[in-house]
Amino acid sequence: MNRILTLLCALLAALRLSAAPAPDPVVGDLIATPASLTLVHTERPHSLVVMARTKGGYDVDFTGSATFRSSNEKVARVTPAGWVQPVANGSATLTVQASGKTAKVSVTVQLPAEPTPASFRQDVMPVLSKGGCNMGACHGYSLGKNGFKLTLRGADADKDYPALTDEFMERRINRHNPAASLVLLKALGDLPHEGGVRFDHGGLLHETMRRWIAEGARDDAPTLPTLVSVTIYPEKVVAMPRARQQFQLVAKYSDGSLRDVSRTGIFTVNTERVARVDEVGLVVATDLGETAIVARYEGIFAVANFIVLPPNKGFQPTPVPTDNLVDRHIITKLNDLRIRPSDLADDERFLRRASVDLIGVQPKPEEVLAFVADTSTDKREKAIAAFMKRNEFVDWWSLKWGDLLQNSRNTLSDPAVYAFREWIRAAVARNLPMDEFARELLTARGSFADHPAAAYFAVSKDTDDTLQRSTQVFAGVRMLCAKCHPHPFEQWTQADYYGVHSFFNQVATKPDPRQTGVQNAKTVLVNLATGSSTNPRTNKPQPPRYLGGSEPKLEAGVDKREDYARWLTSPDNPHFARSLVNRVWSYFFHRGIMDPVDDLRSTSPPINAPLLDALTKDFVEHKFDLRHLMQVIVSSRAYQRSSVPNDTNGHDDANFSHAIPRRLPAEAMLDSLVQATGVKENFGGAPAGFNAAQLPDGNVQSDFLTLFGKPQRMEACECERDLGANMLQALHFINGKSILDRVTSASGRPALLIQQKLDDDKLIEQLYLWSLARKPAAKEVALAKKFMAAYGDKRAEAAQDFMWGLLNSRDFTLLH
Amino acid sequence: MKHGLNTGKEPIGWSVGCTMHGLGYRGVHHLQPSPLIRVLSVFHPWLKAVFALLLCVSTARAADVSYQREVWPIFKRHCLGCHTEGKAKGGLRLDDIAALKKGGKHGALFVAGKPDKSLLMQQVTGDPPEMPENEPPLTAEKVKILRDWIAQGAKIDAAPKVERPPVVIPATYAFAPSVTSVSLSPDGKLAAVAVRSEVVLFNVDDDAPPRRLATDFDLITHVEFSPDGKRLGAAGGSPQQFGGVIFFDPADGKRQSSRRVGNDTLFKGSFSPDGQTIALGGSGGAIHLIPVDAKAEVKAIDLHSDWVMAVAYTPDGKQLVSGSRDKTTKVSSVESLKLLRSIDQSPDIINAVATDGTNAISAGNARALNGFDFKLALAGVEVTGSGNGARPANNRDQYVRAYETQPEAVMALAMSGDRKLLAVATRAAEVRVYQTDNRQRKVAIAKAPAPVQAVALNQDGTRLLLGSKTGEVQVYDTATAAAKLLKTLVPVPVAPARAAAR
Repeated sequence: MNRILTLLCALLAALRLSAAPAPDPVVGDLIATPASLTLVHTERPHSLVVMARTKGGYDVDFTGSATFRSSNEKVARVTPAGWVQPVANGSATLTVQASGKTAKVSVTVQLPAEPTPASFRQDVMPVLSKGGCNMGACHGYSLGKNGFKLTLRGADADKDYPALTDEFMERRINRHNPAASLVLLKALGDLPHEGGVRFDHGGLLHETMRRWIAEGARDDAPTLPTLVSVTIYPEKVVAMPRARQQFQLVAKYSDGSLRDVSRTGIFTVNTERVARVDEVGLVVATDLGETAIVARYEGIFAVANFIVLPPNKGFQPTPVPTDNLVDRHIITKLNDLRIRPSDLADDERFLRRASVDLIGVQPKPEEVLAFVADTSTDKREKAIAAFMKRNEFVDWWSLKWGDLLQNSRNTLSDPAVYAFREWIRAAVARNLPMDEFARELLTARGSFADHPAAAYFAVSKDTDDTLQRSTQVFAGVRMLCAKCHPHPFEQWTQADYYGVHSFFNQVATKPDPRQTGVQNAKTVLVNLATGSSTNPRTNKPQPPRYLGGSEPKLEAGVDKREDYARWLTSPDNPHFARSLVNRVWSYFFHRGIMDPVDDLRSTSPPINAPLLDALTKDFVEHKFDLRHLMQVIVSSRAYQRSSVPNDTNGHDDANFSHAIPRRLPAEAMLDSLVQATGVKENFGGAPAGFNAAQLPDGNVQSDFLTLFGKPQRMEACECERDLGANMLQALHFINGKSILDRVTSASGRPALLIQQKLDDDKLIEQLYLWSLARKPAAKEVALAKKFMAAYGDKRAEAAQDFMWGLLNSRDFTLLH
Repeated sequence: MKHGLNTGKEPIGWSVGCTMHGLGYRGVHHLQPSPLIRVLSVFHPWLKAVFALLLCVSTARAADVSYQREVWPIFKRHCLGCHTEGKAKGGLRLDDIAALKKGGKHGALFVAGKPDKSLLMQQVTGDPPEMPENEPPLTAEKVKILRDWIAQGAKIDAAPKVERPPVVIPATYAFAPSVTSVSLSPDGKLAAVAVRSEVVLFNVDDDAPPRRLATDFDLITHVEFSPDGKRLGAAGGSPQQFGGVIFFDPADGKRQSSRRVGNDTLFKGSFSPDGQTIALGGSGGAIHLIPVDAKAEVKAIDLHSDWVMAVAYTPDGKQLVSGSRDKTTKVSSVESLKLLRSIDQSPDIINAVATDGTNAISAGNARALNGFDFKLALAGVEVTGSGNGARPANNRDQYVRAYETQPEAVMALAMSGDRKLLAVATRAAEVRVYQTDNRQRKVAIAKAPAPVQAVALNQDGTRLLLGSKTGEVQVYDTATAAAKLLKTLVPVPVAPARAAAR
């Protein structure tokens, strides 16, 4: 039985292998990477990745199936998996064959006379990371685990060295009998280890650590070259479904030497639906789509782009538009992905979408009818320009900024909130360039009476809060992690954190002596004498350091914020304009170009980098003009597309090939509901007559707004606004009074329309226009008539129930 | 109230279905087939047949599950961290066949032949499974192995072999081994030094070759002459395996007796004044009182919440001072085997304790060296149970007797036999000797090979022995304030080239 099974398996395996090369023939050269390499260390072999391109435009990885031959086995050998192992000094040529093609790799071996001993920093620290020993859940926990503490993700080798070699009388290692070392026995699972088995017997991790211990567990010389950068190859792959792709990770040290670290790097896949990756960088495509492959090695990240495309069945690329920079880059990318974009949305759906996105309320019937009737070709551009002149535009964008800047009576006095609100409204109304806007905010001082923008600082609990809020809002960067340890997904360290901290540490918020007895009345003082903040890791002052940048020489006694604000808002700043553009983009689509918008990292790269670059450049060239940016975005075809997918773009949820329906934000939903029904909402805690978009903060009594996710402004994060859906919202719509009371009100829309004694067609059209900002389709009219007829002479009730139904539909709650 | 209206593409009206699917989160996605279906859909039909066949192959394997080859590796990888000797969470041990068959406090682990009635299967399945705790669930394949094994009768084909590397003592060391503990005979003529797995004895006053006494411990943590100098105790063990003590006759180097205690190394301690018992710190938080008489019973005082790093007897032999990785210093009663009082809580680990009879003394990583007056610290304390007894009459301020702060973390303390002098070893190159009556410095050795990990004085404090992490050992004449170096040596043979490399 067993033999038959074995035979069967062998047969099947053969079948599979013979089926592996796609019907799609290889057209380009076979490329083995690197094309030449120099090996200087017996324990540091180098991998080869063998690739070719097919006629259909796929990248195919032949690393696993290629044959490798060395011209001189006495100099260098190659394993069947493509790892080049140095043997003795000299040169050799490697011949790589796959798919009937050949590639050559030249190898030079220059081994030192004495074998190089293992290095703690270059060899052992990566083992501790790869083994997971220094993870946050394990010995990297701030209190260690079971008495053994390592720095989180290997942040500080100077601390890990004594922990491993010195503590408790060298209990953890035995230099004289390495196999008996506790650290090995535990990691191998030969002694009970709560963290489980981390090393395989005889595997690379085991061998590296064992060798280092046997060589005396030595510390490194101060002259040891440091890690400078890590690169991943290939950087971009277009793969077939189910394809496998080997990635190669190469570290570069300060002496210029290169080292293949594919086996000790840590690989992850950002979109797990699309691909999975194993321990040594072999990626398997599991679904159509696109993902970043992120590799981490000793705190440095490298990112590759992995795209899985469907088979090319006569795909016709869309002509790339030249009239709009957004469409140019989006169509280029979609063509790469073999995706055709959806058609443009019809006039009604476009108008509703643009209206809600730009002014926070859906259009009224007369706007809809006029727009549909307009036959001019540039009517959409005109409509966009008109929206930007509306008062509601100021309401809507002031609301957004109020959220982001956390203008709230939770932390500010009542007059300060209104003063700050007015300051923001004035800035939006006169389209204050964003660089000026940010500079004013970041350098403000005094109480609200001196400068309303000083409220920005009065919101902060302390300097840490200011630092985190300002980097998140104006750079899209989250720095909190780096307060205590290097950021796990980005290259921020405590030096970066406290470098920014030092720019803001002169600010002190005190109770305002001019407003005694007023709750939360504060004044913002700047103590020019304050020096640099202390970096707790080194216990030394960390001079001001621009976010991810240099350390400027500042004179003593200046307001350091001014320098930071100048740097931040300079045209070539890498964070400011880019993060703002990305943020604004996310208000008009279901996601940012980089996402999430307030956690920008190199490890979550933009879905369309040329698009983000081009928009950023355009934004800076137009002097940080927010309305111009919105005009560019909203007038693009990408923004105006229908949500109905075609046969090529249904799976795409990231590249803006079709509109992804979005729920109306809380305020827009409520204001649209009020407009549709004609019945106002009264808010406790706000002046009478304010609509939802005009509210001063989240401290108003409105179950509706709370339920639909209006933020309390306690965080400088878009994520505080809940745009999700839940059962309570549905129940509130179905059973709650927000809709029912409005449609049944004597002064509600159905009652008003009934008074006009409209015929069924007109009545139905009006109900559709008010509720959904569009006319009904013929089929809908027919259905509606049947529905009304069922009510007999109770026409008013029929109109009420019908409108109730419309407002409960997804056509109302969503932007299609 | 369902309207059944159709608005073109989208159905009208809320329903649970549309709420959950249509409004999942910020972006609303069109319904798509699950990833699995879509992956499968790109396969050719015959490939599906391959899958079906492969599935057959994997089910065919249920034929013979081997405990040793298949089940034990799963236990080892996922379970043994907790269910093992010494830890045995839930009373369950998997590292021993008898214990495995017995099960834990929740009953038998399995019912042979009935996986569905077996606790093991209930624990590793479910959503999410109870076990492994705080870890990803076992893969379906591993669950199946366990299930098949039980279904087939939970047979144990062979006991798993746990191979532990043997203790190896090199004839010549490649690197000078760290000195972990030192002791001087009462007359100061014979020195004992512990390095890794062996004890080395050498004469201070001549250059006779050192005598090497091998042990079967991976790490010796403590070595000490008995008060009469006729016995040498060496304690330690192998980390996470066993603890133990070996008694040698220093005259001929022969073993008198040995004993294993617990499942991890023992730490530092001291002989009782009558020399009949050695008290040693343990990894479970207990002090182990190990009689020299191999037949007498070992006693334990369980009082710390973490490793006990050091223990010292009072001169009357009635009380013990202990310091721990839990950062506390405690006093306990030898007679009742109970804690008397936690007398101090340091900001960091305590590495060493001592007592001059009047004060308990402790020090550690926090660099503070403190005495604590016994009388005042224990005033009002009565032994009433396992706790702190009666409320103490005095607070710490009243009984603390501080010495000067040390330059670096304190690694070891040594008291002269007459309890008049206290030697302090730190990570720094300076070793200081204090008079216990006035806590003033008497001797300072400036250039010891740092970090100094071990220190000892003889009966009258005229000789001081120290051992360094570098492997060097030094003996000083400390009769006068200007200490005189008598001897420096590395007590074991070290291969020259690599010794230099260090």
